[in-house]
Amino acid sequence: MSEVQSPRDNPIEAVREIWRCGDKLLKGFKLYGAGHANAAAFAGDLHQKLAGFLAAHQSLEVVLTTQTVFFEGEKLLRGAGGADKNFAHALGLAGVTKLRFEPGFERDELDRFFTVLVKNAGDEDELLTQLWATPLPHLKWSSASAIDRADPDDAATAAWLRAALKIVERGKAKSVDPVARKPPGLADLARDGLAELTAVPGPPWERLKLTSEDLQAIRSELMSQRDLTVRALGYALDPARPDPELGAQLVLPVLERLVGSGELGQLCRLLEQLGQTPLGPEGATRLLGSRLEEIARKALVALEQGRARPAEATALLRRLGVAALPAIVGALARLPTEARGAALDATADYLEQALVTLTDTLTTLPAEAALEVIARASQVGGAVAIDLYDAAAHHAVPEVAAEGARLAPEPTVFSPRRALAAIGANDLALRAAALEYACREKTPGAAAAVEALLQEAGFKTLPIEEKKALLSALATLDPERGLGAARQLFSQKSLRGGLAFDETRAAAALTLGRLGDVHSRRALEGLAGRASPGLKDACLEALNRIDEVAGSQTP
Amino acid sequence: MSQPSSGGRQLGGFQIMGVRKEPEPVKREEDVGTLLRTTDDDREPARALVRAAFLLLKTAMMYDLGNAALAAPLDGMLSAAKVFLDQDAVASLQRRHDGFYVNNALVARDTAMAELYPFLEFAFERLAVHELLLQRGVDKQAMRVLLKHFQGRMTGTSAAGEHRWETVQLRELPDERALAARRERERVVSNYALACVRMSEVLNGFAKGLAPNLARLRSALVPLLDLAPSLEPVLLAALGLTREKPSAWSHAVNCAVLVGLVGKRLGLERPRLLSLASAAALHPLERVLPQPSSDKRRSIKLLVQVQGQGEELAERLVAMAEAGAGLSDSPHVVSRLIRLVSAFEDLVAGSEARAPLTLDEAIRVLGAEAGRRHDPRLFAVFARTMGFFPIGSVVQLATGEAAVVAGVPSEPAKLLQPPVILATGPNPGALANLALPEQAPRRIVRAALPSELGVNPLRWLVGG
Repeated sequence: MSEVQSPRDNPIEAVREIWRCGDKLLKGFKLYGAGHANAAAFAGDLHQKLAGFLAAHQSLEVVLTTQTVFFEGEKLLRGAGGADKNFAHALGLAGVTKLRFEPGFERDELDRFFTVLVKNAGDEDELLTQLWATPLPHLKWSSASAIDRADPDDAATAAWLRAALKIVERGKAKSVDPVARKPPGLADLARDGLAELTAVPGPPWERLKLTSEDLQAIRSELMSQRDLTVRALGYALDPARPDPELGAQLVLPVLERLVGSGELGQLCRLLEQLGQTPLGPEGATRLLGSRLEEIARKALVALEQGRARPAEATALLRRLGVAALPAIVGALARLPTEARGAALDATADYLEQALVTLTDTLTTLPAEAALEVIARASQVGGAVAIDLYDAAAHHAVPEVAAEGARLAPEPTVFSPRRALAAIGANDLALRAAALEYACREKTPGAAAAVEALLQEAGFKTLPIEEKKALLSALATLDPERGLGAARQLFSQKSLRGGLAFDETRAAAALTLGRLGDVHSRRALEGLAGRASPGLKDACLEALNRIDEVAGSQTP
Repeated sequence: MSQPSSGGRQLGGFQIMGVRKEPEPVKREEDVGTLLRTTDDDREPARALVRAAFLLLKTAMMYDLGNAALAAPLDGMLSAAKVFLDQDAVASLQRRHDGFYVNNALVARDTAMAELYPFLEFAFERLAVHELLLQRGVDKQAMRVLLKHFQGRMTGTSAAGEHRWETVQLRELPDERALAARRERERVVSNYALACVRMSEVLNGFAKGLAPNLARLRSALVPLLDLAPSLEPVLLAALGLTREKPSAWSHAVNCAVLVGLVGKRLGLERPRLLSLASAAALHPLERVLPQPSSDKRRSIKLLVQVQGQGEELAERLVAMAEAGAGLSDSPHVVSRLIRLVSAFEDLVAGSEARAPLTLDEAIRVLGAEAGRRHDPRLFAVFARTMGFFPIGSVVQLATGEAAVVAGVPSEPAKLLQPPVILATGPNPGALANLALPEQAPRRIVRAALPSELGVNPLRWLVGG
């Protein structure tokens, strides 16, 4: 050919490139999953190329066959292995004949489209169903009917094809019903309970009235799935012989959707409704069985990701009930470290109570369950785990007790529960460490525990250093209580007196001084002039401290 | 070491022998030319014309009109057309539903033609016509006008459809257009038939205690739910096909279609629509169980055996329990809707004990029962969707003509004056909108069963 000029711009190479990217994305989705960074990068690449094409050419339409793809009448895929490189191959097999991408095809549509392709690739029926049910406003397709595609010589399809064609042929007949049937007689109708037909009224115009509110109400009712699940459960479960497996099959899909979308409030209401079925609240929790942990974990993740509110998450965890506590511990254990912190913070109150409950009930759990709990607790770590180990160490089954003892840290490693126990114990060294921990961590209940010790008869016989330590700890934990206790001890009188008595008053005097109690000044001054040397020194020191405190508070 | 030959290649200083020389890349136009040379057959001028048209349009898609590459295809086209122009004065290339025709002779889609057909189909689709007609006197200049138009269609700058130049015409084939529309309507019927077959498979499975494939049923329901409004009358009329011999599966599919229709009118989203329709389809499960039982929960237990139903299972169970077995006195709205359409189907299909009612009679019965047996709001939605003379009703007009109702008036006040297709009289097949003043003489006198007037409503709605 002479003077061959350059060809016009041909879009087919651009479409081939789009198909290459699509193939890469499909394989990426299969290999890594939709959320993976690589898959996201492939999707971004494909979307960019597709958007570029759509901007230049308005739309991208291809013709699909079971073997290949045509764009503008030309094969897109070359070579024998074309089907392996055609991301739309499954659609062609399912009977899709044309596929059109339209301007505005968004990135999330692309993700949804490929998710449908990957999830349903092996199932022609479900593929087309899901493609239709998925919101893909900028993707259009047309497909051939299964009847058009069926092979009449194929034994597997012949039977149903014949049956279908029988119906189709009837549609072409002159009359659908070749033999006229006798119209109903009025007497027959009355006998059948259709008395209304014996006097058919005129058009019921008034029955056609529909306000927009009516329509909206019907639409909302029809859209609601929640009530349906509870009703279905009611019908499916025999109250006398509840079948958790059956119930779970009914309820779990709904629960999983609600948890997945972070609709924890709705989830809570559903659980509440389930509790009102013949199952009862505990039965409802048992129904969820092994999926409890997953539900709890998803709830905590939804919380951490900001898809759910703390109050909702807490309410849900409460709703799951005591039976779900091991699952909650497991869920916490399986959260990533950073998410675990956020979840613990957000649901701290509930989790604290829940874990206390769990610790209290651990010894009543079967050995297997108890071992599972402490194994999971070891993944959570912290004070919660320590309490659970201690509880396990008292389990009746030796195997559990041994495992609890093995996992439990040194006695001087405290949890709030351990600290409270140590404060009440007779081991003075351990108590001193526990008081230090309690003062540092502001352990709830520690002040009351110390106060109880001060009121015990044995307090008087304690060494002076121990008395000082207890009063000092109480003043730190709860200054008001510390002041009350110190005043009481300081002002007590004894006919016999004695060293122990003086030591107690001396310790109380020092506490009053430390707390800067100006109201005790007169009593301290009075005793400073006549008391035994030890008590006198304590009173003088207390007075100095009161002056210091008063001085420091003077503007 | 032997001398390097042209068949070998150099690699790292060594001559590798026996490696086949890489073929030169073939240019696109040469590729097409090769194809033509190897398949052209001068003894079959019709095939030659198809191939020439392919080459010309393909080249025109690739090159500007002034390009020298167009010269040979233009010559080829004129030469191929000359045989027919000399003989018949015209050369016509038509795209019909079953293939390409040259001067009314089919060019078989054999292996060689199968390579060309996809592009020619695309080209005719883009031109939005069925025929390219060349008349005696056609020359290169005339062909260039055609090619310019074709290039305009590719870029969207020329109008689609029929065009007439001096010796070249792009023409529509009205019969083909009508046939395509009719095939579309026929596809609705075949989709309905397929859904019936799938439904019977599912119910047979249950009856035998097997777990049926619900995915197949769902996929058969989708084309019925995804129907353009213009095709809905065909589907509604198709429901009558299976009412002649009422069965559980026909009842089930018809209920699914009607529930889907109501759902569409309410603007429900697709997944919900599908869920509702499949619940409606499965609600009469107890009708197929081998032995009647006092245990109303038997069908529920059967359905639960089917794995992978997800959230939809709950809906199906409730529909089955409340609309089918009637276990509840205060049914859920889904069950109420299914009960309503199920009652409608029972009335129009009749039974061994009771003859069928006409569609309008069934609507009136439901209207009378609204507020007692049926939810009045749902009845209102249903009646507005179906009309007082539902689509597919066979009616007798005051003029004595028989007609088939083909639509639902949008104004409630005109529900008794729907558009109809005349089935008898001087103008069979004509559409008459009874709401128009000029159609006043054609008042509906009564409705009748199709068999009574010997009218198959579906046949009229599909056409032909």
